Amino acid sequence: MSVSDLIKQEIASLPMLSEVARKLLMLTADEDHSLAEVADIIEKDVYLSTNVLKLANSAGFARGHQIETVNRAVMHIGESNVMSLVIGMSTGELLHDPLAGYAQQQGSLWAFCLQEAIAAREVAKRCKIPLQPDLAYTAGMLFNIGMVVMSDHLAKESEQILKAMNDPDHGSFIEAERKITGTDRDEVGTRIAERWRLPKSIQTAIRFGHSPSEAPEELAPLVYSVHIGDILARTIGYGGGVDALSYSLDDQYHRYFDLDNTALELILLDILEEFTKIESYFLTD
Amino acid sequence: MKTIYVGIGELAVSRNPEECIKTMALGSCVGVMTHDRTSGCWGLLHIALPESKINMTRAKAKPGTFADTGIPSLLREMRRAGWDGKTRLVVRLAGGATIMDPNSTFNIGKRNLLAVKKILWAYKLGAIAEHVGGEISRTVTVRIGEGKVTLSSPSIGEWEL
Repeated sequence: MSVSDLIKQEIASLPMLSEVARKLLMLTADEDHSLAEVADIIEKDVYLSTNVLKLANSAGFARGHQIETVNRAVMHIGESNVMSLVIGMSTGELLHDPLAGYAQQQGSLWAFCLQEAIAAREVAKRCKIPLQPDLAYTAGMLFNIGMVVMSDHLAKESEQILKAMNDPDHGSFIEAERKITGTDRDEVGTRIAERWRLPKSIQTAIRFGHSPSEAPEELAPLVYSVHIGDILARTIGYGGGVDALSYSLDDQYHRYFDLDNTALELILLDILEEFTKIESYFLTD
Repeated sequence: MKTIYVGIGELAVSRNPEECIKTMALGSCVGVMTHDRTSGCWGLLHIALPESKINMTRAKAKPGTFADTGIPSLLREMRRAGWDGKTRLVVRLAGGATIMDPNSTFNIGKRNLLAVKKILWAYKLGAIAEHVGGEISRTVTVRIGEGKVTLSSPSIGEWEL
């Protein structure tokens, strides 16, 4: 069986997202939604409600008084953190498993997804035109989902990967993935996103996040925020597997963002501080 | 063997031969490793950014985040741990990687390295060894008992600096 057929089969056998997760993803991709509508959906799911309340009262968020309603909890932790819970719970072990093909240990991808999400949101806040930072967060979190399927196929070709990465004239890791397996995580991730029926905006961010200049114009700001978020999270050292920083920056981002050195450094500090706030909850509970 | 893990913006100093000091996955960040041969004291600092002026609150809470506040903090801790402040310290550097960016728009790794070297020069210090730049991730381990610093990277393996 060809790699392409194997990958198709693996994607078809991935668990589906829960209905509540899909409802929340569709709602939050719509720019006219409210946090009250988010809370309404969460309240109908006991397990999710419990976890939203638990996060709102955890060390990183507690403000001296107990939060007892889902509505207040959602307002308190914000949409981004709700979506981290939803995606974390809905994808189960998928984002936590070690990725041998990328030399990443258990939990590394999940940590990177959170860091990349924070980075994409902070970049989106600096967009010259209106853009939903929380949508950038969710798109950032799911951006590298294709890695979970690509990993085993890359692991089988680890010698070729090492050879490619040690070539002084090597291209990006995405190019290496394509050259060695005939596909890449963007293509695979897009197929997963289609199977999960993710909102079109998130599917587009997954498809074009490593090649943002190819994205349709109306979604380019979102795609570039995910692209820059990924680059910044990697720059600071997160996701440091065999691929490390072997990713190309598309500097056409300046069409949508004014990012001088100071702005970039401030975003890096935001990533550090925001991740510190949530890591003990999301990485140990 | 006990391992002291140093996170981003943190530092650690020890002279206990039963200990290792380790920092994981340096990207554009720079690891500054110091050794005083006289007291046997070792230090490791993981800096993320060049200058503290962009966030003085963070610099006070976590001085190791920035080169200009991290290096003085590291030297202060070295003195507390036994360095007399006069013997020349052995300094090694690692990290300062960059993404694939032909126009050097996101050159934080290079600016981190430059800032670190500038501050070290102000203290009349320079690195005897460095493994910097490129697009790789580096994990640093200071092996106090063995008296050596090793680096590792998933695409290269492990080697002594």
